[in-house]
Amino acid sequence: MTIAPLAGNALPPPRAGVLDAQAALAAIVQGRLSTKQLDRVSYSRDMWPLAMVWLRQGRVPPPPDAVIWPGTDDEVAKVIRLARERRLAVIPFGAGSGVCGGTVALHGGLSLDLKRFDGIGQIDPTRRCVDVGAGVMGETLERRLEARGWTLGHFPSSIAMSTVGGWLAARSAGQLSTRYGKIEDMVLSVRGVLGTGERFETPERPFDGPDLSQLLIGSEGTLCAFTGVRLRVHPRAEARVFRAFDVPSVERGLELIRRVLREGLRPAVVRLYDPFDTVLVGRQKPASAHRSPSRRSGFEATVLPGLLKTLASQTLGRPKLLNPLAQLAKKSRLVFMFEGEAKHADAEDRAAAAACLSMGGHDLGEGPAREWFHKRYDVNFRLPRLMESGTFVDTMEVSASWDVVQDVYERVRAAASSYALVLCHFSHAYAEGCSLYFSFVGSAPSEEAIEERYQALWRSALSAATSAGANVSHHHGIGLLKARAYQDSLGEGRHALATLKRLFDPDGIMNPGKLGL
Amino acid sequence: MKTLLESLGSIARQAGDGLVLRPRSERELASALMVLRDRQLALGEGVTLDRGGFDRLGRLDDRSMTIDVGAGVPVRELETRINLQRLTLGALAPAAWDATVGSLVEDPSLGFRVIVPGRLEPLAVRVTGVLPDGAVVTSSPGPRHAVGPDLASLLIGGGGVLGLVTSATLRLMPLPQDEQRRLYSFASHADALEALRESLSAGASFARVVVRGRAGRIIVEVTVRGSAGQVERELALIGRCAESTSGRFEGQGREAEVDGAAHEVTWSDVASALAQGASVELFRVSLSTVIARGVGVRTFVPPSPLMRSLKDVFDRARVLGRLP
Amino acid sequence: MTDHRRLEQATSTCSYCPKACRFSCPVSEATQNESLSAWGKMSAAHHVVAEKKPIDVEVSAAVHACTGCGRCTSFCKHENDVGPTLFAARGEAVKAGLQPRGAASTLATFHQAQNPFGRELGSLVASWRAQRPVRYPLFPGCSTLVKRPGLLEQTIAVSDAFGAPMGVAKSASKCCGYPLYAAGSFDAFAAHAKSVAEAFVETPEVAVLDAGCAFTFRKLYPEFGVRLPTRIRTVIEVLHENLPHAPERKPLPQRVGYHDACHLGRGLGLYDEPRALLARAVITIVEAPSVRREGGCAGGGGLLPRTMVETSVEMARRQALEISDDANVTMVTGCPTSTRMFERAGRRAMDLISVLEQWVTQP
Repeated sequence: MTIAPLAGNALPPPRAGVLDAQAALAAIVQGRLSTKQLDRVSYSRDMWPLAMVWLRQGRVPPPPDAVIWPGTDDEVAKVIRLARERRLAVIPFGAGSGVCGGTVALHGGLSLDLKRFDGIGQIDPTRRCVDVGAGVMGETLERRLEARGWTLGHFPSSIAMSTVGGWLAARSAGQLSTRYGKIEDMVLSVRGVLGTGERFETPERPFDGPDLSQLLIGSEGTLCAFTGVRLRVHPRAEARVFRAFDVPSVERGLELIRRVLREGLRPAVVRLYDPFDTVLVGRQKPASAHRSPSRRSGFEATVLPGLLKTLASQTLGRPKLLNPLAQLAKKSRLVFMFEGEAKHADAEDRAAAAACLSMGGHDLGEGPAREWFHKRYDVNFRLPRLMESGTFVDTMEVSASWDVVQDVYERVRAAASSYALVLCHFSHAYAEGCSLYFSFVGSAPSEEAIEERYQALWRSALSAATSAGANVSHHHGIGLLKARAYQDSLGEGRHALATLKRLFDPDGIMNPGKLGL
Repeated sequence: MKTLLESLGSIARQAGDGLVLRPRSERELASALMVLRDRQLALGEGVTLDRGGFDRLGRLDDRSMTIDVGAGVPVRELETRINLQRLTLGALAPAAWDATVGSLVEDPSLGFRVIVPGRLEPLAVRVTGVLPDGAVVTSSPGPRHAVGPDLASLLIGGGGVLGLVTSATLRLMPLPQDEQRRLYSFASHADALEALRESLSAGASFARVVVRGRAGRIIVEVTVRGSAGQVERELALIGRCAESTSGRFEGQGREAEVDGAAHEVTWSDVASALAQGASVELFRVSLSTVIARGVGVRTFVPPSPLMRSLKDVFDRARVLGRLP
Repeated sequence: MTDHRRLEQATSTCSYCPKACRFSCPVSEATQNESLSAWGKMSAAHHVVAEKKPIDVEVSAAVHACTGCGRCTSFCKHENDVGPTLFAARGEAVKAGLQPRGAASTLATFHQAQNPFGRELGSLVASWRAQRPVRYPLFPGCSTLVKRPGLLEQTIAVSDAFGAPMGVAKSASKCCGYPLYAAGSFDAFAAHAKSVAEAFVETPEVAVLDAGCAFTFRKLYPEFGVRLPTRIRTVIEVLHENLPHAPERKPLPQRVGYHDACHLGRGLGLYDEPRALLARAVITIVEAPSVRREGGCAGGGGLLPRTMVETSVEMARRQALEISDDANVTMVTGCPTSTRMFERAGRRAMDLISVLEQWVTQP
């Protein structure tokens, strides 16, 4: 990963190539193009935590030279064709909630904002599907569907700040994936424009060949820009049934999940928190305890940040002392939610509960699980205070088959614990394995040292995960952050990826540098 | 210059007018493909591929319910073997049992199973194969991933036109403890099919469904398999879904099989067939498509422009044969 | 007004936030621009507030791209005051002479005429002065006085029918001063608020027709240390209180869409009262997927109709579509500004009062 952030107040002007093409590009999109500095800065970063560290230092990742807002497939095609002629980079952009630097304009070029593709079609109740524009925000879509009695069943933590196109680009997963699957499981067909400038729409089942959607989903803007998708929808759940357990260890908790799924039960949510994460989950502040930042007391506004910074540096800056404390806690928290037809959800809940009790789980009732559900997106709101405290925060999500999950957990913990406080929960469970979601919180004496520690942490943690049999990412994607590890993991598959790139983006203009392409 | 047979060495043998390739490793298959390409020959044109050499029955991972298995292993043989471990490939369409693992995984219709709620997922959680340029591709580990485009899709369901599967890690499930059949009658085809889709959405799964008209009512027989608890829960669910769309419980009888070849069709195809008075038998029943008997003949769909482009770039020499 | 350090806290919170309210900002939904999301605008303001960089035209435009609807705050677990913070940053634009044209011209007009329309309101009010005893002095707001005399007439008719007769108050010749606040001219706003308080001395109670005016009196004045000697209630609250005295009439056979106007709903917390009134007057009410505290915005606040004309109309168009994509469904709101925005977006729209008037006067 070679990337040089710039001083936020001294951006270079847009490149000459973009300025030369500006009039022609603007004509394609009825003037919806901007080279304003503010827009370039706004589109320079996604929510990559390293870029947040840079923000604290007054730096920004390389910005695009212009932002452009096409509104039809034809406009996207024309923009891409012109970009090919002029050799301009094109970076498809949804809402910028990615956490791997997937939209950083390494070589400048055009940020292709697709949010004007914001149509939500009529729901086809017989085929149980709906056509949705790539620019529709997740929360907007789900609210619209639910108002009509349906659900997509896709609830990523980023649902409030991500678009459907972004979900497709990065193979997003939602919190209810154990029942509804990841976004790639919900797609009937996708529509968009290839890096060649050609429009495409993938066929729907029955196929006479491979599922072509799957060759484009996950391409993170390196092969195409998505403009629309036909998605499977389900009737909105009649009931949700919650239950939580304390289990004696991570190992026991994992075994429980595995057995529940083996029994044919399909919880919408099953999450196991390791002992450290359990302690933190159990101590979540109620939402009402937050005070509006502009109404904080003088102490909170002026003295507290300095204290927190010192405290963070003294504690999180010494993870080798901190992480062994995890040995003191053993209990892990297991959270279930079943949803759907009321009687069936109840029956599934009872069956899961019986399995958990027979294996030493302590039934905590529905309270903690409901609490989790109520606060399921709250983690996003913790970031500002942590960043203001001079820390770095990041998450790493990988998946592995059941036979190696425990090993992946232990090896990543061991590898990462020199660099940051390590928490982990297990979610997105499948019959043959699950996702491990590690949270890292770290600090260092200086901002420069923080960046070094951040990079070392990632190298170490990813290497531990893959050598133990996990993949590189379950649902955050690759972006810039994991490009090298991803390419290393491909083996000879990298030739196939390069062939796809050559076919769909022969001039290499689509989101250059991402996925290592 | 060496003859073709000499170039292929021990990989090939003469059979009648043609050659049969029987590689035993990915490298052998890759080099055979390169020889064919250099001589502008193609599989299927006097040269056939026998993947019997990929006969490894690898590790059965009981915890993850998966097995590593070579592409040449007959599916029926595999099933017998894993049944001994109380596991199964599940309720596949009839033709799947006559396939080999390679042809099953490559089949656009058969190589998929249904999971709750009515979703399709590939039987192969991981796959290894050889591309026409000789590259050996192994897909990402883990049950799901976010690691770029799904390269496994070049192989899974690809019909062998972009690459050839040599081995796969297949998803298994516990051998059913119980199997139950139920008959329901409905006022209309539309009600009957809606009850089935509603059941799938709500979390039921069907090993087999038969739908036929009789005396003004539409009779539906459903077969459900699984653990004892699962069958009980799902039958109760199906009963409630049936009742909500004019369904009436009619006992536990068995409807006769429907004649004809089974192929993958949409629900709308099934509805059309029923409207014309046909009886249908459904397998691998998902919300997306079903594999059906009794729904006419399969219509030919020309490959999409995207598919043609892929063929052009991955197999320019057409060593894996031409697109239809 | 919050001090500098607290503004910094507010802008910092959004800058380091992963856009957790991203979908909620109606301006950014209408413009599809990240810079104009709550995150984008607050990040822009952060440079000015925290890093003390001089404001420029682009940042000025960004902090003006807000109606102050408060929807983002509804979805923020910190309940961060995004709207008020952006409005505060507009003060910097005023100081630097970098206001958007629409805001500058509004200020100029206001300074000249003490209202944003440049009209002399005293004579308009005089023409409405009631010759009969009234129970509730009415404060219509200058926008209704100038642009919608018909609505004023309907308000009086409905109040009569509800046994709660209203008549235009003498103090109604004063504008509430909201445009000064929204344009970032805070000293002028505070001074204006004091003059309004003086004019209200002899008015113990007033029914306010425009939700924006009522919000300004009840919520903004106290922020600037001004407390009116008057009990301020909206016409809707007064009518709701008198609903038991409303005439027995069948509901109108209409299907209408209800929109929670931002100042009425999030601003004053009036969600049930307008619905209760409307439910008596029509057979069917349709609503958007997001309502009440989470409801959308019709683009009328924060001077947006003057600074970003097309965007404000687009916001109204989108909000109407959220409520119903059937063009025959009439949008109904409890705020004359929102009603006008829907009309400008080409949708049929009626003020709640107008619906009530049709209901009480039907044969």
